[in-house]
Amino acid sequence: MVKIGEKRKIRYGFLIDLRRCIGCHTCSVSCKAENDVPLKVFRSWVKIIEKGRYPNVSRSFLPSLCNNCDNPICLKNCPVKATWQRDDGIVMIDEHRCIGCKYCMASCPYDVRHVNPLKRYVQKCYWCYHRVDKRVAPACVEVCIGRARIFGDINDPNSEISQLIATNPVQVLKPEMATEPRVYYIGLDLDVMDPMKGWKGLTHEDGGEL
Amino acid sequence: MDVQIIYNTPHEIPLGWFIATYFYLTGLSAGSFVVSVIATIGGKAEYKPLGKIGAVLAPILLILAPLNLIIDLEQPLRFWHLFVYLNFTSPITYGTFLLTIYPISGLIYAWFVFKGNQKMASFFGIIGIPLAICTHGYTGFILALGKGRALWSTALMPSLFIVSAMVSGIALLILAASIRNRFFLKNTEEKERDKDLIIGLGKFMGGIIMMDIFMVFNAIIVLLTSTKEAYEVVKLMLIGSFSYEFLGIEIFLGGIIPLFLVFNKKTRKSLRWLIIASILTLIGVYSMRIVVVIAGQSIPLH
Amino acid sequence: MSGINRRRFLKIGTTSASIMAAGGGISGLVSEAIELSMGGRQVSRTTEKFRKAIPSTCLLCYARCGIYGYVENGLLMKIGGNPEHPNSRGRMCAKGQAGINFLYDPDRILYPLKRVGARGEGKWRRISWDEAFNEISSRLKSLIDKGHPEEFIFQSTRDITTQDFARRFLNAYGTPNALVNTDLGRENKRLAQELTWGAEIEVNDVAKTHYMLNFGSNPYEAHLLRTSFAQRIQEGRITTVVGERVHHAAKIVTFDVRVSQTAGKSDEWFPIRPGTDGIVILSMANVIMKMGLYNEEFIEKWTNVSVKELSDYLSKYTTEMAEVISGVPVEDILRIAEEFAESKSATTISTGGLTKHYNGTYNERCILLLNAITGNIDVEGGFCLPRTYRLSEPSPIPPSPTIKSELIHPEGYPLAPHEIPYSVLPMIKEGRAKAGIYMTYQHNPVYAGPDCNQTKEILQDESIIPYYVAIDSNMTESTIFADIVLPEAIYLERWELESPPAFERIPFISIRQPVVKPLGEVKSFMEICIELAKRIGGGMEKYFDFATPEDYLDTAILNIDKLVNVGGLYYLMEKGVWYDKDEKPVYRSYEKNGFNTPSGKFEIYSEKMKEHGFDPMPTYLEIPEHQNMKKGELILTTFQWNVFTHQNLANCMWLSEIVHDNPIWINTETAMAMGINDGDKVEVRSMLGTLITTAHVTQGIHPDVVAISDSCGHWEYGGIACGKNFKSKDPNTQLIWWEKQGNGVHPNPIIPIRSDMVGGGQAWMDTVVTVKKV
Ligand SMILES: Nc1nc2c(c(=O)[nH]1)N[C@H]1C(S)=C(S)[C@@H](COP(=O)(O)OP(=O)(O)OC[C@H]3O[C@@H](n4cnc5c(=O)[nH]c(N)nc54)[C@H](O)[C@@H]3O)O[C@H]1N2
Ligand SMILES: Nc1nc2c(c(=O)[nH]1)N[C@H]1C(S)=C(S)[C@@H](COP(=O)(O)OP(=O)(O)OC[C@H]3O[C@@H](n4cnc5c(=O)[nH]c(N)nc54)[C@H](O)[C@@H]3O)O[C@H]1N2
Ligand code: SF4
Ligand code: SF4
Ligand code: SF4
Ligand code: SF4
Ligand code: SF4
Ligand SMILES: [Mo]
Repeated sequence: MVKIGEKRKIRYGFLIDLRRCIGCHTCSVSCKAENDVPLKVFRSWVKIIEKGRYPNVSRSFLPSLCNNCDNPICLKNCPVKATWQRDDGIVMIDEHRCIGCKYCMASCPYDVRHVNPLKRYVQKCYWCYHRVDKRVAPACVEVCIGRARIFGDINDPNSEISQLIATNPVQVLKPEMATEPRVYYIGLDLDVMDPMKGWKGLTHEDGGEL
Repeated sequence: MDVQIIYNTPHEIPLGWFIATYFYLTGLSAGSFVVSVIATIGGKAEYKPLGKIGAVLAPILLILAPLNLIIDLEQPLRFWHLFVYLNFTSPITYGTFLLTIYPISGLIYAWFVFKGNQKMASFFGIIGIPLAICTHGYTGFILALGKGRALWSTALMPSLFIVSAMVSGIALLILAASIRNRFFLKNTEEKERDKDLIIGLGKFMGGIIMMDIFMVFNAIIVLLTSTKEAYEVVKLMLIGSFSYEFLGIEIFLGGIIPLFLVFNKKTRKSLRWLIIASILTLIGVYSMRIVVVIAGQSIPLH
Repeated sequence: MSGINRRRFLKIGTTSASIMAAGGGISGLVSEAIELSMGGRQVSRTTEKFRKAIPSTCLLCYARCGIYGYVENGLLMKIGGNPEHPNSRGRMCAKGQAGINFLYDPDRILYPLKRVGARGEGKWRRISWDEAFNEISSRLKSLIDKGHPEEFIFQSTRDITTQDFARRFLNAYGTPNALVNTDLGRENKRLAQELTWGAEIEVNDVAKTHYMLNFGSNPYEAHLLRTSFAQRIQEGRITTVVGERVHHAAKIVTFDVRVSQTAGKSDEWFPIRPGTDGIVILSMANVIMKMGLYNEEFIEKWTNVSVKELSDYLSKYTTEMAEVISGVPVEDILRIAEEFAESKSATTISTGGLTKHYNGTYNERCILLLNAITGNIDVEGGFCLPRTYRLSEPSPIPPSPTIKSELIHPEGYPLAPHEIPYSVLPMIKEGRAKAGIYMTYQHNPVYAGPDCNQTKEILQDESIIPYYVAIDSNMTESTIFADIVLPEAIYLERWELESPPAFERIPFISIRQPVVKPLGEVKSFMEICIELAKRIGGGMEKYFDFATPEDYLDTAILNIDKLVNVGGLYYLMEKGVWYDKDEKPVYRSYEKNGFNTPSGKFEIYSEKMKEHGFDPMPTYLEIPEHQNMKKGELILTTFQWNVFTHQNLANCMWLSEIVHDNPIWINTETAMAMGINDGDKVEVRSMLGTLITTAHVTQGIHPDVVAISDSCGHWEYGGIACGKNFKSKDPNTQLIWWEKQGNGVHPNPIIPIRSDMVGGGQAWMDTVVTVKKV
């Protein structure tokens, strides 16, 4: 909250309006193209589930990306301060400083970080800061078919994102983690956000991970 | 409600065998150091040899341990960043200090132990104990602060790590002492005295194993009723793909059998059985490290 | 072409005062609203400079979205959307975003190739264009000299833009065998529409509608106008306030045999027995007539039947009968019919699920009927006529050849004007036409068509196809049999003009221009035709008297004065798209000139169909092989994934990474009865043979249906498409992680050739199969 008389700081936020999402994977692919993300890893992906029993069946989508949390555990845990946060909230990784200990990956409750298999350091979505700084919308926001992805300043009460948050029930993922995620969802389905739903578990046949 | 996942992206497990081995070796080191110090300051002359063994093992293990950590880095050549860019909220940063100070204090301690300077050895031993405990305890913090993972994110984790470190440390000492006893000691009287000592250590180990099992039991019971992820991860350990490693190796081979061996009338006096018990314990604790690290990350987060 | 200077912003927020932070920089304390541009600009992460932006048009499917190519040092770095494009409005799909993969595909053909081994052996020699042109033109010339130009058989499917040009070339050459008319999935729809209301495709005004009734279309994943369409459906489904106008969320109801992405996100999904949509639609029409919910004015004034005639005709299609045949409950038919008719505006949505059947043409006629009787034809929020520009052709225009062609108008299909594409090769084999030279352009008949093995055998047989020239971007399952393969410039390297049906009801033109220099020695189809015409000569060259394709395009827009006035082609090169800003969206256009049919009316009753012995009224035709199916027999449906266009994108790694596997969908109960568990290996058998895949056991499919996608399981096309991990210039090809999972199977080898007798379209969704665990 900005106090009267105080100059307002930009605080970016991201909103995904799932009423508009069609589960098209465009965001995932545009992110790969924009940020040179190699195969094997994703900064943005869309989980799709099917639920119900014939003939009452429906689908739900969950596009995921780094929440650029207000209280990022990845930042707290990074031993070399390679992960840092900008004034506007974007959580950055200094690619030259990262030692690749992967502790941030293990700590992030959302599993949004990855080791770049070609460059060997950790990366994640940084809300296309290089575009945003030049006043260009993030790559995945630009092309989203349903215009489900909205990016903007949540400290500006007049921004589209602020208005949507103000006038709709919104949800974030795993609020109990107290990381204060800044990716908001409208119309998020309980079953798609639950990692355990539909998870078949690991058996000895799968070899587990051992 | 029938739910089927139609599409999801696979994510790699970030921390693996190297990290588990690293945790294991630091634990071993801390455990044997603590036992060594107890032996050294215990006063009785017959304990001295034990103290020496521990004093040698602890720093050696602690030099091997961080090697695993460095090998596991994606950028091993940048490991010096750890000393230059500090982040005081990160347990790995505490580790950087501990891993530097603790082996140094350990070496000093060992030096005095071998010089037979009882006073200085005790002094540095006592300083070293909290350092050793911290060095291992902090690895527990690494996991405990990995808040996304249901299995790790518990306040029990550091204590659990310390207790199992003690178990493995004693087991290692029993092993080393038994080998010394069998192959290097000539004097039968000395041999007998030494043997009693080892048997005593065995009982000590038995007690701590019980404590360890008790803590694991506590953790499991709470996890079973906390979150869904926690429930699922325990299921993995009890009936899923980690049940061999957890129930079979960690609990049964590494816990129950050694307990039986150290308390059973027929086996508790036999060095041979004690050696077996300590080897099993060492395997069990290693298995525990693997299960905690890897099973802990086998539950999807999205 | 300085896309860099033009600034397009989508205003985020409602404050009017706003400044552009010059150049950007890390944002600090600001109190002004932030505006972000939504296309037309892109920044390099490394140099932090704006990249050169070149507007163009995507062609990875038929939607033809407006794009920008962002270029640095002559390399295409990124593709983005063009927000000024009236249809796509800056949005794109995953395929369009992966266009870079398609351009820099490590397996692309970059040089003309001549076969050196046996047919299909895959041994090639790189040749020069000169050699290729000489060889092909001398062969083409010799056919003319022999007096048999019709033995030059040309087949293409994706040439929406170059169709006119191909036709010009083929007419000038003198062959009637110009198989360029179709895009393979739409034959039935086109015929039904042309007969009924004189257009070839409808535009559903979904953004403004109050109700969407979907029969067998999957616009969230496929559909001909995909990205432009899906975004408007989403718009229509959300309550929005535009100025004074409040648009209330429209409902969408989907009839599909399985839970497609669209069905799974609809307000209601009705599983339906395959091929029975016609009866449900007719019974709905009957309900509407009975309940008096029809639009009397439209029926009486604009159709060629009266309310009375219609009511009488439809009365035989009872809801009870529809329930027995289709499995859709009577109450639901009644309720949906009423909702549809009572909505202020409503439109049906329908594509392949309705028309890729033996009875597809009739089904489409039923759909047209339903929209007509509710008065939803060409009204706001309704089922509208397409609006496009017709491009002109430079004179002289070559006359159409007069020789008759059995391939174009095969016996037994008196009405189908759009060929029977899949029968072309079998007809040649049967001797109903003779092939001297067979040329394919952007077409992979072996993989895309039914009965792949037969097609393969025909192409391999030099006595049937003595000479085969393929113009393609990749070595496909078909081009592997070619004698010469000509590498074509892909959509990012060539010139074309487009005018797809406009959603905003104002027609527009968009340009496709090279965003990068063509790779290797690839040439565009137009360039190839021009050069061939010159070398063949004999008068043909006079129709191709332009130095470059651009010259041709320049003349193609000469009849559009307003565009010429603002700069013509130059305007397009700079902006990407053009439309007449003074024009207002047009509805009820038929009120001016009537419909483009013989009677000028909306012909619910078709005299022409009557003439040729077909039912003149919209009717339901049973699919013969679906009657008396034995226990255990199931109907095989194929469908499209959202990240592929049929086959041609499987070598794009970002797309194959998302989908590389196609298990067969089977209903949970059906599977249980057969002892099949999710993930089990199963064998699917049709009259043509078997395929083996894994079972995807799901609640989301009709119990009598199994479904599999049509875009996996390549055996040629490229390493990525085949799911291989390999070394190339791009280190990513060594990161292909799904090698073990494989690349799926292709269903077409077990789908027999079977077409709708009226429209000639392939019955893709009708194959009867059995499934068993292996
Ligand atoms: N089982 C089943 N099969 C089906 C269908 C179905 O529903 N079920 N649907 C059918 C339908 S609707 C259709 S439209 C067809 C589509 O069938 P096709 O039109 O044959 O297939 P496409 O995937 O569109 O690609 C055709 C060829 O064009 C090439 N190509 C791509 N870009 C270029 C270019 O710029 N220049 C040149 N020269 N070549 C290029 C590709 O390499 C590919 O070989 O498939 C049909 N097949
Ligand atoms: N992503 C993507 N987009 C594409 C294409 C692509 O390949 N991929 N191809 C383009 C082309 S050429 C075409 S023709 C269009 C095709 O676009 P669509 O026609 O929308 O797609 P299809 O997958 O052919 O079929 C649509 C649905 O019909 C269902 N269906 C099958 N049988 C029946 C039935 O009897 N009744 C009903 N009610 N439903 C049935 C299927 O389950 C499927 O979900 O898409 C175009 N756009
Ligand atoms: S691009 Fe938009 S509509 Fe498509 S999956 Fe991503 S969020 Fe959903
Ligand atoms: S989502 Fe994870 S990686 Fe992103 S800021 Fe939050 S904790 Fe860090
Ligand atoms: S992997 Fe890099 S960013 Fe992550 S915690 Fe380690 S040093 Fe920090
Ligand atoms: S904001 Fe940028 S980095 Fe983040 S998911 Fe979207 S495209 Fe990727
Ligand atoms: S829908 Fe996708 S593939 Fe088709 S034209 Fe648009 S961006 Fe290209
Ligand atoms: Mo099609």
